[in-house]
Amino acid sequence: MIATMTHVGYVVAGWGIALVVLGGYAVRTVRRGRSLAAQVPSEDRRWS
Amino acid sequence: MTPAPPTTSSRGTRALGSLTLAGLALLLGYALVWSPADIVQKDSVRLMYVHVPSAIVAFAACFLTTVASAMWLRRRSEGWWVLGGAAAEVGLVFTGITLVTGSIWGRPTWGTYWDWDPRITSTTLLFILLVGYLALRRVDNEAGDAAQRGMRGAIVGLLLFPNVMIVHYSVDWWRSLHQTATITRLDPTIEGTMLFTLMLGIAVFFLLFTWLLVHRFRVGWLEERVGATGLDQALVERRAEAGVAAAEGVR
Repeated sequence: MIATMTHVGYVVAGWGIALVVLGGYAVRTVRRGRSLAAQVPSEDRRWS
Repeated sequence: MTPAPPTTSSRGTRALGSLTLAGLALLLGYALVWSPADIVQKDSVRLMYVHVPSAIVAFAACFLTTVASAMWLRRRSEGWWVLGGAAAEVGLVFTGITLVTGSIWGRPTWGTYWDWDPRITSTTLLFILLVGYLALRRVDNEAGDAAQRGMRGAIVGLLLFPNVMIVHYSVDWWRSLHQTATITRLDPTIEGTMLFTLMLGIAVFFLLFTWLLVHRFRVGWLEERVGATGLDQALVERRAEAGVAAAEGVR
C-alpha cells in the first residue's frame, strides 16, 4: 500500500512530525504534573 | 483510605485517553490506508486529515483563551486564569502542527513550502500572538504586580479569537493560494470516505485536545499551589530573619 503511494515522504513527514510533537507534549505535560503533584498536599488535588 | 497518587490523572482522563488512543488508531487506518487518493492532489491529500483537524482545534483553543481572558477580567478568579494559559499552550502546539503540516502539503501541491499568502501569514501571526500571550503571563513588572501582569496577558488573550476570524476569512477577503472553505459550507466539496475521514480526524483531535487541556489545566493549578506555598515559605523565612535581626539589635 505504502509502496504504491505518491508523495510518501511528505505524508510520512507530516504525520510523523504531528504525532511526535503531540506525543512528546503529552508525555511532558503528564511528567510535569507528576512532579508538581508530589509537592502539593492531596486535598489540593481536587481531581484525585 | 490510601492517599491519592501524585498525578494529574483521574478516572475520567484515563477513560478519555483510552478513547483518544483508539480513535487515533482508527484515524490512522482511514487516513493512511482505507481512504482513497485524491484525483488532483493524489496521496498528499492524506496530510489534510491531520492539517485541517489541527487547525480547527487550534481555533477552538484560541476561542477558549479569549473567553477565559474575558472572564478573568470580569471575575479575577484563578480558574479562568489557569484555563486561559492551558488553552493557549495547547493551542500553540496545534497551531504549530497546522503550520508545519500545511507547509509540507504545500510543497507537492503548490510547489513551495512557504508563501506570503494571507491564510499562511495570518496563521503565523496567530502563532506569534500565542507565544506573546504565554510570555506576557510570565513577565512580572518591576513592582512584581501580578494583577497588572494578568491584565496585560488578558488583553492579548482577547485579541486571539478576532485574529482567528481574520485567519478564517482571509481566503475570502484577499487573493490567496489557499483553497476556500471545504467543509464549513452547506455543500461540502468532498464526500464519501474522504469526508468521513476528515470528520473522524476532527472528532479524534477534539478528544485529544480535551485530554491535553484537562491535564494542562491541572498542571497550571498545581503550579499556582506550589507558587503560593513557595511565597508563604519565603515570607515565613523573611519574617524569621527580621525577628533575629531585631533581637540582636536589642542586645
